[in-house]
Amino acid sequence: MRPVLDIRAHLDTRSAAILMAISLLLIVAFAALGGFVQPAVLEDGTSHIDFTGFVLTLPLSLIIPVITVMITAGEWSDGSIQNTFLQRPGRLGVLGSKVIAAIVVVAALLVVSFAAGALATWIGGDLIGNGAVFDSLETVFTTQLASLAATLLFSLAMGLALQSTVLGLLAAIGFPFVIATATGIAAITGSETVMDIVSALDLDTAATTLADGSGGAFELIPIALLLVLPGAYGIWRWNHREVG
Amino acid sequence: MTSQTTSTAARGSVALEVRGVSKSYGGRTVVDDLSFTCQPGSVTGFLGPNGAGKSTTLRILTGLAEADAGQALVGGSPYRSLENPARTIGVMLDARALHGGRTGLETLRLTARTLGMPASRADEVLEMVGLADAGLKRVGGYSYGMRQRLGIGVALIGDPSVLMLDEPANGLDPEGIRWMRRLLRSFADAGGTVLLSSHQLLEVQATVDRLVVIAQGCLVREGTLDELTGEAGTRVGVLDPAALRAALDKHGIAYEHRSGDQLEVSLAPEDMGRLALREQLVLTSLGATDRGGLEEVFFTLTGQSEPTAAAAGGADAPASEPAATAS
Repeated sequence: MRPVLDIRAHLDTRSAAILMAISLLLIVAFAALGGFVQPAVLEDGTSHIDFTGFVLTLPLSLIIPVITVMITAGEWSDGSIQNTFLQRPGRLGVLGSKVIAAIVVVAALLVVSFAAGALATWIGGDLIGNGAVFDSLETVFTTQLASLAATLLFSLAMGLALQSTVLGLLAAIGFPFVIATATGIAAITGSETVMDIVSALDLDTAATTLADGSGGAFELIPIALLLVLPGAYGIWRWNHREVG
Repeated sequence: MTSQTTSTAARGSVALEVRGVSKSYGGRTVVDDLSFTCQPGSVTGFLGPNGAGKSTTLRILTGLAEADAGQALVGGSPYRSLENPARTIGVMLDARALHGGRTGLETLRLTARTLGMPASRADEVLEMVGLADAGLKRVGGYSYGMRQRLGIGVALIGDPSVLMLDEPANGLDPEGIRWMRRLLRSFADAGGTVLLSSHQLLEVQATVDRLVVIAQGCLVREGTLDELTGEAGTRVGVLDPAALRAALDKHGIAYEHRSGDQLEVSLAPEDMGRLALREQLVLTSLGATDRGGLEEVFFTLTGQSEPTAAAAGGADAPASEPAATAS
């Protein structure tokens, strides 16, 4: 496996350069928004890291699928997977390498994001407002980071299973949106059956529930349906799909 | 552009072998028990009409598709079992497969790094393929001919012993075609093995030593260029064509019907005369046929009665083979 090579192959294209520039701008903008605005709107004039983290999840829930799907499925869509397999015919090695590359790039982006968020919270709280609150850092790990980790894993599964940038992005971004909407509608219907069905497909809730330690066997259903099954199919397809 | 395009060091002897390869898609046989070899020190042309199975065979040889039966070997091993295959065999199947958002130089540098070659090799190859001035331009802005050159550069960067190129002359200008011809010749002369798939028959005739001709997935002829193009037959006219056909059938001699009472017979004119004498046949005409070079041989062997636009040369259209990719 050569993840460094795949990171370079991803980052040295024009589309990736544009994507990374936009991503960093969005992260800085949303970190500043979360950290600086809080003292102005909160009565005690403080700035909280968990709120800044929540604001940061808004752009990251779009950025993570785009980066992950581009790394895993991008070469299938533009046809350059042909050259990759000609030079590196061990397909599972390439797959593992791309998965590691996607995780590394997203992890680096998360570190930058939450560092920017912490900086903005400190500036907004201590320098502009009446103090920065970092006590709620655990909430960031059990909610925001768990949710973003689920986004990363679901995007990986969709990239592997669909092996198409367009379809992968549609699934990775669209499906959670559909489930969030369906959750609201299920609550309105009041039907437990409908609510259970929607919950069985709600990976985000399952991830946060498991992260805070309150999850049970039911939370494994979305993981099996949305991560394990498409991931396993994607690995099989990656290994057998013919390249034209 | 440099005229000396490949390493002058003697290349390792690596042959390509296709042994009884078959491949079907949805019940349709695309490659049917195909066998041939490409030997070091020679340029082998791989010819066949659209849909003959050329591209599928090349994909099987390079591990991009799996054969239903048979083996495709590079130096005695399947492509996918080679540790660093691009150091053994340089392949260009589709120049459009190069990422358009990367510069030409970065494409080669990334390839060099993948293959464990020094970064300086990328600059060297860029110069070799005549793209030194376009190295910092993105591949998306390249013409098709420039992409072909870059694709050939990617194939050459690992300094391989074998070259496998699919329609490399497409999009190249006359100077580029001449360059490519010299490249392949010098590569083979240095002991390399070249397999060249092309529709451009005149280009093939000017470049290759050996030919492998396939049609409908089957091998129809394999041999040297001289063997295939030198096989002239005899056009013979006779008062009693039925008697002549019976005589030819009796002796197992191949023939084809031509206009009127004429047949084209796979015999030299003097042998045809002797046969007519022995069988007491009255000839109305007798003369050697001119096969007109590779083009005539191609159409005869592949059973195509007249040239299609694609086969007549200069066709860019890729072989219309089954959609092997799921998407």
